[in-house]
Amino acid sequence: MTEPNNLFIEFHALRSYAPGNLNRDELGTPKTAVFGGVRRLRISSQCLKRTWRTSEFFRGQLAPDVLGVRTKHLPRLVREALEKEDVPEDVLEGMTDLLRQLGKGEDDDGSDELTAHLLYLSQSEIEAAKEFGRKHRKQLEKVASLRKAVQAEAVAAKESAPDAAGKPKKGKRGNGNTSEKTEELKALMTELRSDLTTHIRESGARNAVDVALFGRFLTSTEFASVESAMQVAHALGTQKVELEYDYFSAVDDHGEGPGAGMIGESEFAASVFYEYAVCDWRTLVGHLQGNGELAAMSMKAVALAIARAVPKGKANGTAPQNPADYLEVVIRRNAPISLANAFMKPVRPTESRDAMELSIDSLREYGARCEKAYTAQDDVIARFILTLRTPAHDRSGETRHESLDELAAAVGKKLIEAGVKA
Amino acid sequence: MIRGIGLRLEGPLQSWGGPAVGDRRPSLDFPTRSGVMGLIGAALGVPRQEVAKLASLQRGLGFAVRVDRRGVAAVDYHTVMAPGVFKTTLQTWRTYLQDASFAAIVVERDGLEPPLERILEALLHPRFLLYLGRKACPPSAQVLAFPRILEGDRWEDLIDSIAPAERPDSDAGVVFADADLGSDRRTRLGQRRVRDVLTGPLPRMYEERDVVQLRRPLPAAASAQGSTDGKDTIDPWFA
Repeated sequence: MTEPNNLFIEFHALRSYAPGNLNRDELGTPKTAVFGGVRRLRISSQCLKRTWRTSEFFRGQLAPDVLGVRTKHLPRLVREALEKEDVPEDVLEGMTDLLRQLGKGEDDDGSDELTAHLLYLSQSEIEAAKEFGRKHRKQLEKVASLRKAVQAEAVAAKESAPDAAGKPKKGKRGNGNTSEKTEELKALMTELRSDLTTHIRESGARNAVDVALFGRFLTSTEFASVESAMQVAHALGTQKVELEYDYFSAVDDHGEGPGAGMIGESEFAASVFYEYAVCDWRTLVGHLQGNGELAAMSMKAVALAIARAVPKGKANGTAPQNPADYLEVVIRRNAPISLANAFMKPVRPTESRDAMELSIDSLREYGARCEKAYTAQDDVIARFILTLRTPAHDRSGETRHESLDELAAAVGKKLIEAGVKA
Repeated sequence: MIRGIGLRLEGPLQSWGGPAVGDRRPSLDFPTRSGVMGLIGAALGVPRQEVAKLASLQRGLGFAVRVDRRGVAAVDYHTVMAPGVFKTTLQTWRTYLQDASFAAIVVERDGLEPPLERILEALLHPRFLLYLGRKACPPSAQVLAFPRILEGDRWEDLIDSIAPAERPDSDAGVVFADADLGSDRRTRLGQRRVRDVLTGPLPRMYEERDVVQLRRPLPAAASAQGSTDGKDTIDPWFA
């Protein structure tokens, strides 16, 4: 067999949620999908990703400095750090001015200290920005002095030629002429932004773990977009969905006579969900600058989130704190496959067996068949199971764990053993 | 002698992007050339930014797809927070095909780089994650229809060798093929222009191609390759 291209870490989970509305469309209806000709409940991929990424189950496993920071305040963060190092005021102003441009097309001469939009950065990237400030003092001083000159010109222009109503004319846009200083500032800014982009790229700044896993899309060129190492499928109900309506009324405490203050309907449903996600190991490790241990930790964190984290939809009214009954984590070399087809025929509870038990057995039985048909001898490196129900059949080559923590630790350990050189 | 690779494109959700205007993101009703070439590129480990490489790959392959289950189109309401250009939460409406299944072939053309054997191997052991149009659409069947190169006198023989999916619908058997593959006039339902030929140099720059729509008989299910229903036993790919 030729040297494999990659390792994939697959997560298959079965989770039953009590009646609620975890993920809804713009009309408040629970999201659904038709699969196997039958309508099921669905939780969208984007909802799951956000739920996992923001949950304490995920974040609690990782040190704060490896998690991403979402902020518009990059200019201020850098300024405050460099101030402590006694960097001269001119350099600080120039740096603030430069960072304020991030994400903007035209030159921004505004007074705020914010980037155009929220940037999703790692601590490492913020450090790289600070380093740029330390290294480019001369140019940043020039930026500050040019900016002052341009601002002075603008003020002078306003004062010397107010319009008929006595109001000052608008700045450079008003007359279409730009001064030499303005052009110089623009050119310098462009050069510095390009230098900053190169600097960040070559600094070896590591991506934040959540950025590496779930990706980011930024329109600023200085910080590159990151392709997500994880792929998360929309969660699908294993059963046919029955959408229901909850008729509610709100009583007016000082109401007179019969009748409620307000009446309404909200929709809800319940299902066992099949959740599937898979991670591209080499891409993940690459994003984390070769740090296999950190990558392995992140897989632990993902396992915990998948089994425990709950989407926020209607949470206050339904308390949907239902953990997974079944979690299967597989480390494999060949192409990963979603086992959704195990549920093409929707699961139907019987007198003696409920939807979860039947779903678990369908999943395992179908998974075993796929394995037999499509997998070469040593393609599956390891399989870890956590199950709250007793499956109908055992399978060879899987290790059962008693607790989620134990399973997560075993996954992490195996990945470190298997090595970065996937 | 025509050589190619057979594919099965099946998953609970798939989406094959057509021209998108603003917040409405539609799907074509069959897998696009660019989407499938991108999938092959992903298996090979070609990053999405290497447009020239992807464009050259797709020039070396002919493409035809058969509808086994056209699926049900549905729109997912998808909000994006702090998206960058817009100050408030962006609302998008993205179309998916639910419960669809397609058989497809890519056939070798002159100058195919890398060779077909390498592509086959990459689909068995992909470098990047494979998905059906959108990343949230992992396949629920093996993407490869067979673990080997297909050979035949005509491209139609290649696609006929892929057994139909379970529960074929009334549209099953309709084939959308590159017009320049050539086809039997009598089977033609029509022809259209589809803008899904990746050209570059920027990512997501496309040209149009001519696509013929053909009505062909669905092959018999008896060959049963790729079926994982309990009734049929599959010859294991790796003995």
